[in-house]
Amino acid sequence: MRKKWRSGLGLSAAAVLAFTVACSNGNNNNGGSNASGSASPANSSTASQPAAASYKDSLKIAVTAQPPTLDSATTASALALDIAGNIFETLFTLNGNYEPTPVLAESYEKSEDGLTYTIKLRQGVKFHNGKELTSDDVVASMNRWLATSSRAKTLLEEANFSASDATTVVLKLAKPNPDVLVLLSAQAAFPAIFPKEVIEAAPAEGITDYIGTGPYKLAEWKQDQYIHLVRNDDYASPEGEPSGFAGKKEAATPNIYYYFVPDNATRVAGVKSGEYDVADSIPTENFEELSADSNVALSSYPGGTLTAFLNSSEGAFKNEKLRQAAVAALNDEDILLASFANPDLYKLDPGFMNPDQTQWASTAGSEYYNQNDQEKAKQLLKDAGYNGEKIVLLTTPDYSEMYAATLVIQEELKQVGFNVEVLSSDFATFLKTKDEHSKWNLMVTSNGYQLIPPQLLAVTQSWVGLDDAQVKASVATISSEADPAAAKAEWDKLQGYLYEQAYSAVIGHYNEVVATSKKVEGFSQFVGPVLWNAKVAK
Amino acid sequence: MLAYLAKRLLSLVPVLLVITIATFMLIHIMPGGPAAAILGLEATQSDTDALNEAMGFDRPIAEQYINWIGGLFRGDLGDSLFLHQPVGQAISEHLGPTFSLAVVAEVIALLLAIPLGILAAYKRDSALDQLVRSLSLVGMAVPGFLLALFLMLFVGVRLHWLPIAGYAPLADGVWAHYRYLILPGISLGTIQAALIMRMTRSSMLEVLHLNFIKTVRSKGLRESKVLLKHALRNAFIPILTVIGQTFGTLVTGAVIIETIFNIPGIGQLVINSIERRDYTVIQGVVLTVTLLYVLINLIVDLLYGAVDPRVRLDRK
Amino acid sequence: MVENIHDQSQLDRLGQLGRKLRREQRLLSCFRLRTNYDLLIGAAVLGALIVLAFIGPLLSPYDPLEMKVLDRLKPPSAAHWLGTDEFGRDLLTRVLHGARLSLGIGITVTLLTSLLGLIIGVYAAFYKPLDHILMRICDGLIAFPGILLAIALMATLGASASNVIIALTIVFTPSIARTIRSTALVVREQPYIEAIRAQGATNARIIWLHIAPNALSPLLVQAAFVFAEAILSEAALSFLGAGIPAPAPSWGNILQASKSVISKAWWMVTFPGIALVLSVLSLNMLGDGLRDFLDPRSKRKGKGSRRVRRVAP
Repeated sequence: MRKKWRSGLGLSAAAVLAFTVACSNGNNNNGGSNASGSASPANSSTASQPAAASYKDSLKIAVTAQPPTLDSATTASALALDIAGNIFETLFTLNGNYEPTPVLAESYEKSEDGLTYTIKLRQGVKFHNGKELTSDDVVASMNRWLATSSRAKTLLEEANFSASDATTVVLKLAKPNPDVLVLLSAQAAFPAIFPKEVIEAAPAEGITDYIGTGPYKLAEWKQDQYIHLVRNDDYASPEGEPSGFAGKKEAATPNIYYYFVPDNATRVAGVKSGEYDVADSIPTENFEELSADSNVALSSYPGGTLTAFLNSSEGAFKNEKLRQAAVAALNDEDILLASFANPDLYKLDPGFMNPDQTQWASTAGSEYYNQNDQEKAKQLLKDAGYNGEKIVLLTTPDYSEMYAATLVIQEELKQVGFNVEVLSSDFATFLKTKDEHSKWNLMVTSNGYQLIPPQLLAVTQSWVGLDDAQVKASVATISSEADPAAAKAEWDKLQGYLYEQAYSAVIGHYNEVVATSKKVEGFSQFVGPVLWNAKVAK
Repeated sequence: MLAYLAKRLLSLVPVLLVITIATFMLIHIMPGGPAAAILGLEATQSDTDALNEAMGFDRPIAEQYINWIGGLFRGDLGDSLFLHQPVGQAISEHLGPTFSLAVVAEVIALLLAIPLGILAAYKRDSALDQLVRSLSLVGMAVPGFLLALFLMLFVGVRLHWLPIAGYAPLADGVWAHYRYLILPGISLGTIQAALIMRMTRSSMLEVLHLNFIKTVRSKGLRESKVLLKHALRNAFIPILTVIGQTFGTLVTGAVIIETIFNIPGIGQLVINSIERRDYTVIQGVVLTVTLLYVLINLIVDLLYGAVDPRVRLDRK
Repeated sequence: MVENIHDQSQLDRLGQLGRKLRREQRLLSCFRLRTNYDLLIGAAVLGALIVLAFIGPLLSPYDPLEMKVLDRLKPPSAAHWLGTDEFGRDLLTRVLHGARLSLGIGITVTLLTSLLGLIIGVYAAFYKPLDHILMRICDGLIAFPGILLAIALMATLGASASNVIIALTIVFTPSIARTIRSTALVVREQPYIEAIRAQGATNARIIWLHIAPNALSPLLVQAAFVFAEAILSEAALSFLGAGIPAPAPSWGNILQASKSVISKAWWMVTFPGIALVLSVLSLNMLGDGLRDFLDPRSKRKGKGSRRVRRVAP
C-alpha cells in the first residue's frame, strides 16, 4: 500500500513537461482540446451535448486509499486534495506554469508597502446549495484557513481577511511577503471557499458539510469503497485555456467515481481490463508490464525527492563526523533502484528543489552526494571514535519506497562498520516515534516538491529537530530577499551547508506514474490528476 | 430448551466483558493516535494533541470505557473517528461482503469435501481413498494467503480467467458479484474443505460398519441411495459440527484473504481501523465479530437437536 | 485373584504369562509405531527440515542480508539456485535462514504455550474459584478472533521477533489450558488421587506428581499442532507486515515481498511457500501420528483431536 501526502506547495515550472511513455494522442496535458473559449457556462454545457452520445457518462479513477477528509485546509493528504479540488475552489490557483491565476477572484491590487491586497470577487458564482458567493463567505473561509492550516499559520503570521463590500475582500499582512499569492494558490491544504454558515457550524474535527462552488458536487461517499461526484449544472466556470488547475472547467463527464483501491495489483489489473479509466500511483514494479499493454497509456511526471534526514538533535548523530560518515557510505544508485525498480523512474541529482525549476535548482554540495566512499566513511568513523553505539533507522512499511530505501541504507551503513537496526512500525506509530528524537537516528521519507526553499522539511526545525543558527539565518535571508539572484545565491550556500554538515541528504528524485485507458480524452496530470475536462470514449 | 438457551446466553456476559476490556486496554496503549492518521505526515505535535483532545482521548481510560458501555446499552456503538459515520452503520455495510465470501467459501468447501469424503469412505484404502487423505492433509497445511498468492500467480496473472482482486456488490449482477469471490472463496475454502473431507470420511466409515446399513443393503436398495439417504444422514452430526465451527472461523477470520483480494469486508475494516487508530470501530468490530462467532456456534448446537432428536442439549 | 494361587508352578506360569503379555505389548507398540506412517513420515520430514535449518546456512556462500541491488529479481540459475529477491539477495540462503527463524519461533512458542497451558490447566482443575476466573479469561481470549488478537497485540507491542512470540503465546495458551484442564479434571476424580490425599500428600505434590504427568500425552499431541499453527501464524503476521521486521528473512517476510513482484518473480512465492507447507504438513502428520500412538482409541473416532484453533484460515 502506498499513500501520498502532499508536502510541498506544489510542483515547479518545467514539471509540466511530463513525459508520456506509451504514445497516446494527447491525453496528457492537452486538456484544452475540447474547450475553445466559449463564453458562458450555459454555452459550454450545450456545446458538449452533441458529443455525449459517444462518451460514457461516468469516469472511474482508482486511487490508493480513502482520504481522511475532504476539508482541504486541515489535511496534507494528496488524495483528499485531489478529490476536493473538484468540489471546492479557491481565490487563486496555479496554472500550468505554476503562476497564481484567479479562480473565484476576478482581479487584485497590491498596496505600495506590500501589506494590503484588495481582491475583487468574480460575480455570479453560486454554491452547490444555490446560495450566491459573497465576500462574507470568503472572509470566513480564508480566516479559518489562516487559523487552521499549519502552513498558513507559519508562513502568513498575523495575516487577516476582511470584507470591504459584498464583492471585495481585503487581505492585510503583518510584513511583506513576495510569495503571498503563491501561498494562496498552492495546493497543499488549499484554502477552499465554503459558505459562511458551514464555516460557523464547523466542528473541531473538521467540516463534513462539503458544499463548494466547484464543477462537481459530492453525491455519495461510500465508506472505504468510493466517492461519487456529479456534475454541478449551475457551475460558473472561470475563463481561459485550461492550464494546470486554472482555465475553463467543462465538467465533461457527468459522473466521476473515485474508487479506493489500496491493493496495487488490483489497480493495475483494473486499468488493464478497462474496469478503471484512470489508475493513480502505479507501483514502479508494474511499469514495464503496463507499458507493454496497448490499451493503457502511462504518464510519469516528477514526484519529489527521496531524502535521508539525520537526527542531529539527540543520540549518536549529534556528532557531525558520524553523520558525515553515514552520508559518505551511501550508494544512492542502489537505493533508488531498490526503491523505484526502474531507472526510467528516478533521477540522480543532489538538489533539494525540483531540478527543472530554474529559480531554485542547485547542485551545491554535489561533492557530498552519492559518494559511495566506504574508505572515507570508515576513516570518519575512526576519527569520531565510534564505539559501536546502535544506530536506529526509523521507517514504515506503509510507504514501500521509504521502506526499501531504509533497508538498503541499513546494509550500506553496516558495510562500513555501523551497528545498525531498523525500527519499523505501522504509519501511526511511525509518526508518533518520529517526534521522539531519542529513539532514532536516521529516517528516509519521500516528499513532494516545494515551491520555495523555506518550506523544505530539511530546514524546518519541527521536522527532525534541526537546530542550527546558520540554517535559520539563511532561511530568513531567503524569505525576505527581494532580488531573486541574491536569494538563489543564499540558497546555494544553504544547500551546500546542509550537505557539508550532513543534516540531510537527497538520495534522488522520483517520478509518479499514472495509467489511463487509451479511451480517455482531455485528461491531464498536473500536481494531481485533472479530471474536469476528461471524457471517456465508449 | 429455553433454560438451556438462557444459560448459554448468560454465559456470554463474562466472555464479552473480558473481550471488551482487553480490546479497550490494548488499543489505548497502542502507540500513536487517530489524529496522526487524519492529519498526516507533516502535522505538528500541537496539531495532533489538539485534535486528540477535541475527540476526547485525553480523558481517563476507565471513564472512556464506562461511557462506551453506557452507549452499548442504548444500542449506540459510537461514531467512527475516520469514516464520518456511526460504527454500527460501518459494520453493517462491511458485513455483507464478508458474509458473501464466507458463503462462497463454504459452498466450495462442501461441494468438494462431501462427495470426496463419501467416496473415500466407500472405497476405503483404494487409490482414491489415499488421494483424498493426502489432499486433505495437504489442504490443511496450505495457509489461505499462500494459496491466494498461487492462485493469483496462475489464474490471475498467467491465465487472466478471473479478476485477481476487487469486489462488486450483488446489485451489480450475480456473475459480476460472484466472479470476484471465486478465487478468494477457493483460498478460504480449501482448509475448510480439508477438515470437512476428513470428518465426512471418518464419520461415514463409522456408519457404514453398522448393522442397519447391511439390512438396508440386503433389501436391494441402490448403492447410491444407501450411501446418501441412509449412511450420510446418520453420519451428519459430526460433519455438521465441523461445518459450524468452520463457518464461524470463515466469518471472523477472513482478514488476510480480504486484504489480499481487496474485499471491503469486516476484516479489511478492522485492519484499516487498526492502522488508522479508529478506536471506536475497532471496539465495535471486535464485539460484533465475537458475538457472531459465539452465536453461530450456538445455532449449530441448536441444529443438532433438529437433525437428530436423540441429542438432548440440556443434558450436556 | 492372589488368594487363588496356591503353588509355585502356578505362580511361575502366571509370571511367564505376564512377561509374554508385556513382550506382546511391546511388539504391538513396535508394530503400531511401524505402521504409523503419519508419525514416521512426519518425524522424518520435520527432522530433515531441522537439519537443513541448522547446516544449510553454514554451507551457503551468501549472506542472507547482503544486497546486490543490480542483481535484483534474477530467476533461478547456477549461481543462485532459487533466484534472487527484490534486493538481489540469494533466495536459497534466505529461505534456509528463514527455516531457522520460523522453526525457532515455532519451537519457542510451543514450549512457552505448553508450560503456561499446563500450569494454568492443572491449577484451574484443582482450585474451583481460580477455575472460574481463569476459564472466563480463556473463553474470552478464545472467542476473540485469533488473527485480530495477534495483530492488535503486535500493533501495541511493536514489531519484533520476541513480540511475535509473546503475541502468539497469548493467542495459543488458552486452548492448551482448556485441553489440560479437561484431562486434569478427569484424573482428579480418580479414586487413587483421593487415596493419596488421604495419606496427607500436599496439593502441590498431587498436582505435579500425579495429575500433571497424566496430562502429558494429550499435551504432546496438542504441542505438535501448536507448533504447526505457530509457524503458520508467524508467516501470516509477517505477510501482513505485522510480524518480524525486515530485513530478517522469515518466510512470511519473503512471501510479503513476493506479492508486489508476483507478475515477474514466481520463484519468490514458490520456494518459501513450499518450505512453509512442508513444515506445517510434517507437523500435522506428526501430531496425528502421536495421537494415534498415545491414544489408539481415538483413531477410529478421528475427532476431538485438534483443539488448537486456526489463527489464519
